[in-house]
Amino acid sequence: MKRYAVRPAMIVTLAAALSGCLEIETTTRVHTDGRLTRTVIVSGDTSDFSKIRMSMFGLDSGWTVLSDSMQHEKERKLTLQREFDGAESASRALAGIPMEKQGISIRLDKRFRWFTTLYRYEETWQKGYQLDRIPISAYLSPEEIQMLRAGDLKGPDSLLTEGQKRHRADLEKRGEEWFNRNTFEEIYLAFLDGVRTVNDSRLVPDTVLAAKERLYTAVTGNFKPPLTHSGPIIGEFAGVLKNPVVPRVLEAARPAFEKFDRAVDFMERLQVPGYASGVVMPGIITNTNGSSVEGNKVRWKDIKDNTFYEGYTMWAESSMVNWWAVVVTALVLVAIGALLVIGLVKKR
Amino acid sequence: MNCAEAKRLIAFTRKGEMGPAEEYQLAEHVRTCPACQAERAAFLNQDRAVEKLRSIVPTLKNPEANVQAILRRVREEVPPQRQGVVSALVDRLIGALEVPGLRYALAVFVTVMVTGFVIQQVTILRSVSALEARLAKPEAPRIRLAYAVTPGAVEHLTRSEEIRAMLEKAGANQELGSERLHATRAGSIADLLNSPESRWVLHTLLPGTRERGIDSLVNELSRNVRLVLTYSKGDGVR
Repeated sequence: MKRYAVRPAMIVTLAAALSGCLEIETTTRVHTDGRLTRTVIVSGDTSDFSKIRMSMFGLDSGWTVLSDSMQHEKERKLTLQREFDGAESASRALAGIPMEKQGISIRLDKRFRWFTTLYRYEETWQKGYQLDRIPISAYLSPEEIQMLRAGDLKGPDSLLTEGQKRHRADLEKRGEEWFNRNTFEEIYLAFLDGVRTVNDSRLVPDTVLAAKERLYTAVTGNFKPPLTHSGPIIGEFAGVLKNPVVPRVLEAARPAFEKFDRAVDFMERLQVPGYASGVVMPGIITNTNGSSVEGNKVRWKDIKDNTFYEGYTMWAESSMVNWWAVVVTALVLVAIGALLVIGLVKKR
Repeated sequence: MNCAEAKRLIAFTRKGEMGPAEEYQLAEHVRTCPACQAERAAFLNQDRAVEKLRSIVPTLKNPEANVQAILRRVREEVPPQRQGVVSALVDRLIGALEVPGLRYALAVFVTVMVTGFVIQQVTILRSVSALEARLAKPEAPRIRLAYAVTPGAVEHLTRSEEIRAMLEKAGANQELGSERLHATRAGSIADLLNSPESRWVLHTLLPGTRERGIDSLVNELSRNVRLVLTYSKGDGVR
């Protein structure tokens, strides 16, 4: 069992925790008729391939393997592609499954404006973080999360003002607190449910409720970096409560603990260090929240940073000139002009 | 002057048409001869009526349309065997274009199409140039900070004897969560609370408080204050 893989430091740095250098790059080509062609390139050390499950990223047997090659001795590059009839079919295929697959929904708007057709592509990633007992908004404001996303407090201390340093320290503290509380709450409530299920007068729910802060202090005090899988945490519970009923409670709450461990495993596996996404739009890119634009391709770098704790929507807008409409209009105008000229000549 | 001579001269009544002697003799005869007098009056009436008719200029209600209608009729009278199909079609279209209403409609159509094209292209260019500018040179973050003391923070503060004494003095701790300090510059909680403006506010809120007391308040607030931060970067893109 891998312990401490989901570190609270991610709350501030939002950096990947899994070792290795696996990279996933997704490119979606939007066709003028609304079809989508999605290409995924997974590259990295062969040993890193075994650490992830492709299905977690929506890659299954519905995808065509375009190439699977070894670039150097141990470097593998796998290219997969799939074509979708439209945004709806893509969303259906990429829909998330709790603790199994990170969901992606896609939306495509197409508006005809005679000379131009406007396209708006939206790709929303559901958050990868699976624990929801305490919302992050209880500890960080939306603006602070936005600051973290923008990376304004990243970098060495020497580059920050005294105020920014203090603010970062404050954010780290609150972020860690939220992470610990959220993880603890999941286990604690499962344990409390177990106590209610066992219904033994030697260990009543009120006793567990009264011991909540002691349990939290014991757990966070003994684990640095703190909470991950349920095993060590419930071990601390037993130590603090020192009650003969605890083993029965743990047995009663086992399904909930197993679910928790599956969630932690899922979150661990989602930590791919390099994850970039791109979209190739028809026409000229007119607006986007992407990090770079090359021609008609928009790219978002390090989207895992943005999508792990909160969902994130990548969007791009483009405008394509309808040359056939321009030509038709020009012909009509030329014809009108010619008729006027001929009319004038004939009059004379 | 006799009647026959007078009747001959009656028609020359305009100035310069007869000599002064003839004019005098005619006037004398007409004054004494009722028949010639009546003859002259009838002639003058006719002359006035003719003058009135001369002043009338004939106008048509829609002259251009009438002209075009006449021209169309003339063209239609041309034997069909002498015209090709294309030529006939062109002639028909030209004929149609000569209807003023259609000409105005076409003018509006041309204007709308050209303006629409220009507007669409300009809009695209402006969007692209704004996007390029944003990607090339990201705007500096615009940060507005406001610090609000949450109910929990105030509750915590009221547990501190020193702080409670200060707040009671200022009467500022009665409405939980209502205290707000606003700042328009970026920085940390400590930056804000240590700023001269904030210290001035604190001095005003808590008159007579020693510097050390304010330091204590600053430290307490730093630990317990709830940060409300308005942050935006770039052109509203989130």
